Amino acid sequence: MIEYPVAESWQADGVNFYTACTYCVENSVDYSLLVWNPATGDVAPSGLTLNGLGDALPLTGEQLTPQQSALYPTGERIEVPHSDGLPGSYNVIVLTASARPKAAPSSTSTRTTSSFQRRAGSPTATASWLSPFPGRARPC
Amino acid sequence: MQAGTCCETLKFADHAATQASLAGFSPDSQQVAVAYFVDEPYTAELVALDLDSGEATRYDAVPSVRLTAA
Repeated sequence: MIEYPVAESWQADGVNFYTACTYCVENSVDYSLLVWNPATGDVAPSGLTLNGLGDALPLTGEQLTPQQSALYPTGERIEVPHSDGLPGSYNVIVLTASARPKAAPSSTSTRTTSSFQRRAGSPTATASWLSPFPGRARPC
Repeated sequence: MQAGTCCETLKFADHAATQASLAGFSPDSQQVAVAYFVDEPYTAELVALDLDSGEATRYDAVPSVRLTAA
């Protein structure tokens, strides 16, 4: 197994990244993002969490999640270098409605992007990793 | 750093990277950040590259457990 950083974005406080690995063990996923400040060399938790399940709509919390359904044709397992292989291609996109009530955004809302969502008090997700990017290694 | 008519190339590693990812531009648009790893010799870094000078600021992202392994 080889661990390596994956850069996600460069925000005001530095470069957000997470650690991925080759041959990762399923479900040993840490979605926490770190932030590296090149000016100081400091690395610290960013307070952001990688939304590994898919993309979330910031205002409504609805999620778009690629999944595989046995009800539809599936592709063969994809073998890629330095990876434990990816399951067959996703063949459906699932829209999950959020229980969070719709509200106008406030100036104190947490920072979010289409790829990240803050999960206060829950730095580690327990759901299975479903890579939204076939061909990319999963974080570990 | 090599300059062309439309583009410029910024070197971030001495060996061919096995995988690399871009964080994009810094807020002041003066730097770009890339993360990468090399299989052999094992190298894992975050690098911020200055667009004008090509100067690199590096963070060694090799897990500490590897540094203490026998």
